[in-house]
Amino acid sequence: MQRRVKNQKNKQRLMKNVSRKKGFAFSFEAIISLMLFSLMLFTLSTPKQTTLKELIILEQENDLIKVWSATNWNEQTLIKDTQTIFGKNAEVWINEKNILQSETKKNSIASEGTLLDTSLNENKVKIIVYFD
Amino acid sequence: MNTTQTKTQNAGHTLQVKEKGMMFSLDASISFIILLFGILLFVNSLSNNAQNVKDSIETFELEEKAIMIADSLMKNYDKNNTLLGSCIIDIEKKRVKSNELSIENIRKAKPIKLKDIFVEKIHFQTNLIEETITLENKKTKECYNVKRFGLINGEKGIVEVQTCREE
Repeated sequence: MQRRVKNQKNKQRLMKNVSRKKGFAFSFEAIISLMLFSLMLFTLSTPKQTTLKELIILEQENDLIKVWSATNWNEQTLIKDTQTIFGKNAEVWINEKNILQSETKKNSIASEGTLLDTSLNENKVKIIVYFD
Repeated sequence: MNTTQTKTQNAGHTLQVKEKGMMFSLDASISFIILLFGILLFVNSLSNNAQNVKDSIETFELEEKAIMIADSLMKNYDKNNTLLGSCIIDIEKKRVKSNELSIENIRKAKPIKLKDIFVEKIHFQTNLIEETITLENKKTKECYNVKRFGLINGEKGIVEVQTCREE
């Protein structure tokens, strides 16, 4: 009878130990989950900054077409003027013929216009500007 | 005998409560501290986001004003303040020649102020001439440069308008 009581007490102690270990394991899991939660907070995306870069590029393209339409032009002047303002990030097409190639190919904005030459022939000009 | 058993039981009971209490408090305190730390990070990240949005709006406002002023300079004629229009006028056709500027008009430009935003300087450059006109010289917080292409006194050139926010 006394042995049974002792055995029961031993079992109870063992159970206490087991429960203590389980409690510790749970707290470790809780730490990991909370750490993951805080890591997730770090990765919250910041709102993308809005810029008017596209508008400026569009205005600059229209400036070029406007100036070319008011002056005498040839392929060399078109290339030179485009490079003056856009560097090497622009393409120029005249009557579907590519006269200037861009070194980069990213996001692009294109403008198109019609230029009259000295014989009053219509020439379609297209400027494509690439930007980040 | 009964008294001894009760004491032992009481002692055992007290020990049980103490052990459980320790376990609980350690577990709870660690997780609570980490939870507080997580809340701190969350609030900190919210605060950073709010600051970024505020800066972004201010930059956007400056960009908007800079583009508006530069566009007005290139497309209009304003006799009161040529900063808002320095184009030449075609008297025969009675119209403004957009993108065709006169150096005299650019030189007559006066300062303009929109809240804490002002035009600091105008720079123009052709094959024949290069000049910078400083309109205002103040301490600035941030500046934005707009580059435009046009005819300046009949020569192809670049006009740059630097617009800044006052400190």
